Amino acid sequence: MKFLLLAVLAFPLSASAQNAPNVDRESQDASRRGAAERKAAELAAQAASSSSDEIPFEAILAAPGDLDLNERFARQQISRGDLRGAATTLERILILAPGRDRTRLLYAAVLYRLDALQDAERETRLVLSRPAPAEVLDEAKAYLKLIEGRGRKTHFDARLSLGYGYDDNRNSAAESGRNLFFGTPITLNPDSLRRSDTNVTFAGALGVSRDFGGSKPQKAFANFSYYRGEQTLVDTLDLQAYSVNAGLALRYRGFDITPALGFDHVLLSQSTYLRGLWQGLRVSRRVLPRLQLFADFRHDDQGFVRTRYVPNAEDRTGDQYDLSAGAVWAASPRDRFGATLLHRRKYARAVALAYRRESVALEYTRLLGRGMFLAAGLTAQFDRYDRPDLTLSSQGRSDDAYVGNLLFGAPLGLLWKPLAAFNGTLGYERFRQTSNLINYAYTNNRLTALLTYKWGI
Amino acid sequence: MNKIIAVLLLAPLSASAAPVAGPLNIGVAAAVRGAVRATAPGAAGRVVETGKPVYARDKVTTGPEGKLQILLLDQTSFTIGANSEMELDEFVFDPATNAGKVSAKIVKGAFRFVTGKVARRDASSMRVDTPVGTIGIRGTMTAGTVSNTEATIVLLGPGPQNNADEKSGGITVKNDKGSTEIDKDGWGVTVKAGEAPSKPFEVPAAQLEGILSGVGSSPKGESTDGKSDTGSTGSSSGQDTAKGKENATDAFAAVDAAQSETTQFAAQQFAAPRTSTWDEVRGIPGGTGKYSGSGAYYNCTGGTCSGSSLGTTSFAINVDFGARTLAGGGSAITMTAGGGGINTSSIGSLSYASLSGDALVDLSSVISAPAGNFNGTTLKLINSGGVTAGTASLDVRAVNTSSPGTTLGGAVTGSLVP
Repeated sequence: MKFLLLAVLAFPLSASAQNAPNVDRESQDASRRGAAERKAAELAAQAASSSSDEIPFEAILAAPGDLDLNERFARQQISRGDLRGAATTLERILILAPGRDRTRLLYAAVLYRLDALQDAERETRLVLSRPAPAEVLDEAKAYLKLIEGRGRKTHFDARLSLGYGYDDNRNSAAESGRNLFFGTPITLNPDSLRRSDTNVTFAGALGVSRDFGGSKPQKAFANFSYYRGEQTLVDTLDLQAYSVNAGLALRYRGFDITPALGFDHVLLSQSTYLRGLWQGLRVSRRVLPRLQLFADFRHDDQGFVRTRYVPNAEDRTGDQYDLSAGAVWAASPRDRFGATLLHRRKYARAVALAYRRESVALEYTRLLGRGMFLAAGLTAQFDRYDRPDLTLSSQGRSDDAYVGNLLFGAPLGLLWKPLAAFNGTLGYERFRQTSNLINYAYTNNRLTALLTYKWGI
Repeated sequence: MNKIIAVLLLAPLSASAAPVAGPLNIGVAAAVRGAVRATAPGAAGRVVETGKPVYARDKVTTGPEGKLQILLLDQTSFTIGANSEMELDEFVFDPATNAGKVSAKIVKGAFRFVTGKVARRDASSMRVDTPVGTIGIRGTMTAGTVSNTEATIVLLGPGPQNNADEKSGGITVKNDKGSTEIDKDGWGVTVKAGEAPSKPFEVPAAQLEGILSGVGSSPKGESTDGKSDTGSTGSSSGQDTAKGKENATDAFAAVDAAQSETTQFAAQQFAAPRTSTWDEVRGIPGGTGKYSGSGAYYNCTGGTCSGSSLGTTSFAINVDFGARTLAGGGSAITMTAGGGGINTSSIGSLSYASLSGDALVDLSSVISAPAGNFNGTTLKLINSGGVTAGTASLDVRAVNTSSPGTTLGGAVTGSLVP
């Protein structure tokens, strides 16, 4: 292949050295040029004859007028994530063969993916004006709807999820079956030992965003979400959470800057457990076409409220500061890697509950095609508490937690078309925490199944 | 191998001041419709057909029905419409590093360009001139129309919502009178000779259509789809795959809500709280501490205390697990309302060494004074967070000193502190 590449490149260069840009001279060199063109045609033919072979760019330079070769090259470019290159290739085909309606629709779809909406809309409307096959027209209508939707200045979206989950240690019971109490290990009560449980979850979210309408891609947004998880056995962990947030998405000199404010209200077993007000700032920048760096700052003013079952909840009341930074790298159109470093400072009314956290999280997502994905994550977090909880031990608490998770998702429309708006996910999480206090050393395995319906205009 | 390519490509340019064997081939006329001609400096014009090379410093013109896409070696493309003219001023490209320089001039007509590897590596390495201003580029698809006296330039993309992992496009249009930046697709700028570029504006649909139709293709007649045109566009465009990214984001949001640290913390704080037994409490080998807490009290009727809060009850009760005693040594109960004391009493020590059953004890006998004021007040120890007797619940019953004959009270819980 390397030899082929060199040969192809050598052709136009040698031709350039010998063929002056002069019509007369060109005619004098017709035989030489004819040989070179035959070579180019051979290369193009080689590329065209084997559908599995990679098509080098040089083959396109050698035979830019070969429509089917270009079509395959465009698909190769798409599969490699070179959408801009694909747009150029498809545009070329359409200059030469403007009657290719499917190609034009593909061109429109590529432009849509590039968020070149005006261009995409024009090409889609051209397809719709054609005597094209019904399935092409149907797809064009669907794309036009997407394009018009994305082009709106105000967007609304909603998400509803229903799920079922299983934990084999829902109450985070100590692995040893014992807890320290004034420095002495005491055997846990039977009902405080590891308890498996199942739960039903429901989540709903509403969002709205509004483009400012200026020359910068800047907008304001607001979201509301509700979450409810009902345990089958450990009812004391029944959870409800209401969250609202609003913010701005700004662009300045290539940086995406997102300041936001939010409020969370969490209820445990029907009693208010946490009221939290937070403000955050996220700054991100795509430093390379496929590499995005980000930094986040968030401050939470957490007000925990004593409940019947958590009488010491207020002890945790206090500020929490998170500073994180990371990167998202799209190694290929299907493979995405993420890494996040986090530093947390948690203050608490009871100093024994104040801690510092350092954590590192690695994520990998594989897009499987047809809307399916497989995601894997690994997180390691290290918590160091400010002071010992003398009720338990005179030793300062140090927890090291390791979390591994796997998530598979797929649109249910793959099974039955009317369910196209639903996505199903299956998840597994393994949580393992070690601690110098036996109270906090435990493991949990969690399985989740979630069905999500999404709507947006 | 890449080094060889670079040397071959760069040599003619670096030697541009000296006589060379011929002009530099920098790309190809990738698609030609109608009449298109090219002229190199000092040479006669030539007819350009699809597949013919283009050279550095070529001046390319299209006829009334002409249309041309030029594909440069770094995959930059220029498309010009009918009655257009452009010059390929400079092209340097090192395939090993994608470093180089692209410089062109749109003299007149409609154009569109899509940046290639050179601009992707370093956007400042590409510039496009017009008679009235220069376009600086930041990873971009751009179109426009140009005349000797005026140019309209529109940013087409990629937009910020692209799902192709592309940087958002941007252009800076400038001349010696000023400059204007555009960061939003569908927005543009007009430049007139002798004037600074206008402020950015959202290009009206009709004007945009005029520009795009000038460089775009217009289908006529029957469909001529090729043999590769199969399958759904969602699949072949990668949109279905990219959709997985959005689905993953949604799934993460839902799962994160379910697995919040909040519930994890709560789980560690309690595990099925229930009343301790005295046997369990006696199983604690040693240690001293204090149960302390506070909460509201109410009017009590028929054993039930409810309604609106009338004040606050607070308590502090010592415990010595080694000596198996509760209260004493400064243990006290206080009920306040509006800052004034209603009932306050110290609590004397009691032993649980020989008690049996649930860890529930009536404190009436050890609450000192005023006599009878706290009759019916009980203390219950609760296993909380997996810890035996980690929490105490004080169920207060107290005479309302402001209204004798009525009772105040309610349960108040407190956690153990050393």
